[in-house]
Amino acid sequence: MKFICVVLFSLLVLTTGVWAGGFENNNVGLKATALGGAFRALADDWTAAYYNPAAYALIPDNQFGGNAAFNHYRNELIPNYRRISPTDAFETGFFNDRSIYNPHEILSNPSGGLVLRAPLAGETVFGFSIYQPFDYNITWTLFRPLTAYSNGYKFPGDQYQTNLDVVAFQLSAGREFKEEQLYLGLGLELLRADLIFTEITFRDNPMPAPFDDRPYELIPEWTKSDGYGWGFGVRGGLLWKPTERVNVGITAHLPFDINISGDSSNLNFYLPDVADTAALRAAGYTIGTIGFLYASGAQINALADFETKLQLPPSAGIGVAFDVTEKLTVALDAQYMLWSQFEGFNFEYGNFSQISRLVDTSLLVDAADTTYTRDWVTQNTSHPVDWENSGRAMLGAQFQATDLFTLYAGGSIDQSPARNATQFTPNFVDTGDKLGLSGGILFHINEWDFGIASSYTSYPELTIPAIDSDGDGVDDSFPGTYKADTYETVLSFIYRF
Amino acid sequence: MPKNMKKISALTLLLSIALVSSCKDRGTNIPVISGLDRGGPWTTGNHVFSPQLRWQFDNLLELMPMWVYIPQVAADPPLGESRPVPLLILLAPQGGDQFYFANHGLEILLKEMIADGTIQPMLVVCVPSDPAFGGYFYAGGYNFEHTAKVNDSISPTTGNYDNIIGKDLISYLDNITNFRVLDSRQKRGIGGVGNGAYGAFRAALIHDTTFGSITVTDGPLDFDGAPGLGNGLIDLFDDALNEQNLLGANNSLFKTFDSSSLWPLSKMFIGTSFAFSPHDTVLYDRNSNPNAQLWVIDSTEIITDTTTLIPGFTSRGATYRFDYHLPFTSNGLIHPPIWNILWMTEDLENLLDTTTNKLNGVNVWIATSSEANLNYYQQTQSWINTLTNAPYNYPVTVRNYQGVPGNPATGDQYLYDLLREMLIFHSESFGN
Repeated sequence: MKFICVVLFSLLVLTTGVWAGGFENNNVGLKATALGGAFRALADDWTAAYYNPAAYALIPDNQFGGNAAFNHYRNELIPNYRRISPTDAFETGFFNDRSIYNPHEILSNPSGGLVLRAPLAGETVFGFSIYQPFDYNITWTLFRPLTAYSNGYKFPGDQYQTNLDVVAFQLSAGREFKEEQLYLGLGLELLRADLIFTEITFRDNPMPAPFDDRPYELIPEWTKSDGYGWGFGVRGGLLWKPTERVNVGITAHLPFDINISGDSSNLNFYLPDVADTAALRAAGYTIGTIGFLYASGAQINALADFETKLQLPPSAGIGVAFDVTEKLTVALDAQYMLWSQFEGFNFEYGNFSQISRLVDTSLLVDAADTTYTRDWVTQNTSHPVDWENSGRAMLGAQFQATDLFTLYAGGSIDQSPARNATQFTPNFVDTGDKLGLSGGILFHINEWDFGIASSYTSYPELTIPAIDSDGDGVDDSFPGTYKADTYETVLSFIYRF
Repeated sequence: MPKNMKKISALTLLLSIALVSSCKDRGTNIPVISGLDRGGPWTTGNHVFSPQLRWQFDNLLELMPMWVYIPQVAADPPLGESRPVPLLILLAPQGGDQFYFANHGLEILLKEMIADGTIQPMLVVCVPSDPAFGGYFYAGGYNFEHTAKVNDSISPTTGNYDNIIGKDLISYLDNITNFRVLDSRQKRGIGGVGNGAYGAFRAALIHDTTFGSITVTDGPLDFDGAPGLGNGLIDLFDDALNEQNLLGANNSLFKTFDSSSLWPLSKMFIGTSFAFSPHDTVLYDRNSNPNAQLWVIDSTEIITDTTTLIPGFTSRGATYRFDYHLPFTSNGLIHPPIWNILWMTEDLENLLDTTTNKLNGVNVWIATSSEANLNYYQQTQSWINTLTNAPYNYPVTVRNYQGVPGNPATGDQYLYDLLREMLIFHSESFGN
């Protein structure tokens, strides 16, 4: 009977996990994952570097450990991206009214840490850890240019992609300040941010009618930027034990903006292919003119350096843990994150090392045409978001069933920073307030702990309407119906010595 | 091994199975293009429709250019199956040549839509609007049945379109394709844009057993408009005169009314005047040298009213001068002898015979936008009212549309989108 209860409990928790808002990675380590993130007041292993460095002071042994987290973003988008008129909706080339899924991938996210009770600075406990406080990875193929005028472009598959990894190399220290009551900790982070960002935008066709008639009134531009940058952050924590059975943890994280740069931004423009060359000639658009270029069906490619700023959000959290019995502990956490700091990405291009010869003076007779087209091609791009600060509540419980293993379960309610966003694109799919449930099991064998935890996060369905606030005929958002689920499995080990 | 290790192992296994089962690969569901119809355009479809084009302006070779799409199944083996297919004739608007529809994506649309089964294979023939004077509303040859007119004309200077569209053209297509065009009214459709819309209805009314489906966009479908819907072409008289700064001009200046590519309205009225109110209404010609097919004009019959006569045009060879009568005076007012008798008899409303139900059984689709220029929207609305109200009560599928902000649908900006719907409508009308 006891076994059946354990099985049912385990399956129950597997049907439900945790996932942080925006692009925060709130799951570092098995225990925190399994507890739904309610770990600030417990933080009894090396992952306290992330949850509450003050808890280092309570870790009795030296230890090192590692986690392998496997993430599965299971997203769905039914595009409704059309050009809207008062009575009509004209196709744009997006796969409208059709469920499109992100490519099936199991993404790995390793982390590890070391805690040393070195006899330095009195009873201060030090640690070094490497983990990802921010992580996001999504790729979509959503678009194929409308076929007309006898052309057919081969568009890349990674049309909308955000692959953001922020890795923290953190040196942490925790120390007791009031005997068995108050502990303080501090973590100094060296942050490395890697970003791959692709998106399709539309540019107005500068040609006059009829050469900019439907469906070539907008010229698709696909950009891909791949770069990295370094930055710093500070993480502080306090752990207070008002009674023997109660822990209270208070934490704060202050990451600084990171300038990301790279030397391989691709800017690709897919020009209309107007078949009526006779009409082009009649309009004076012969070979070597800008008019001929913009109706040639050519693809203009440019390669440039880029710079953008990654604005990471500060956050603060509080957690309470209560030992209900000798074997059962429950924990309740809350966190508030200043997502309004993140305003999206503005890519500034420079040092163009390569621009298609189509734009070159050798092919465009008039130097003014070359200048115009170069200016047109080399414009900076902007991908703004209008996110708001958001909160999150987490509840978890751990039950030491036997000396051999401990069971964990947890849940969370996570407010979406994009809950009122008007500039919503497939690059960040955070559809609304999320519910997460999680569970896990940790085995204790001699000096070793190893185990598995799993979490599931349920996103609400979100329909983004077509909004063109500046009246340029191009949507500010990517309209459609968004659905998402996220699964995460964490394998973990800890060795105490 | 601990006592409960088996249970723990089983529990861990269950956890793993539950995890794996939630991660089934769904693919991406991106639509795949299965292929394209391997038919293609037959671009050398120029043809002599003698005597229909014998005296047409600027057409020394008497050719009517065409763009013809032959679907794969209609091609000869081994590419095709020599299968007869339905026929669709599309008429371009003023200024549109035989490539007009192809330049709006028709060829690729046909290849895709035939291949994926959205439409059935069909032979599509695109006819240009004659470029000489802005086209002739695909009219010419007069309305033979109208007694108010002076005899009939064997080959007017516009070309005898009434004998081409809907008659000789279909015979010609039968011949060149070795009878790959299905020979029934239901299997033949016609469509047009702008002036071509008028031409499509005109052909369907004059040859009322030929076409089973019609698709058009806004056009000059009711010359005099209707109460509450403007005055049709009449409201454009001033605009045409203003193009040449001739509104209110004296008679000698008015007689210099000219055609120029800069003056599209003037060109439209000149071309249509040549079709509806030419000065030389009947040509008496003969073949002076049968071996060389050398034709000459001996005499003509003319309109004697000279109030709005514009002189000075010559046809090929400069052997004979052809003039025309405008339907309006230099003050932009109707000139009744021309407008009321010669133009309005060509209005669709008058071509529509109340006694024979000419469009009975014809599937009609009309795309209309309130943003259309040249009063075409109002004219189209009036025509729709005529068709759908008593005594005709024809069913008409009306497709209302508008352009996106900043890009209004004044003309054919959205033809790419409408073409899809036109092709589907015809395909469904062709039946199985």
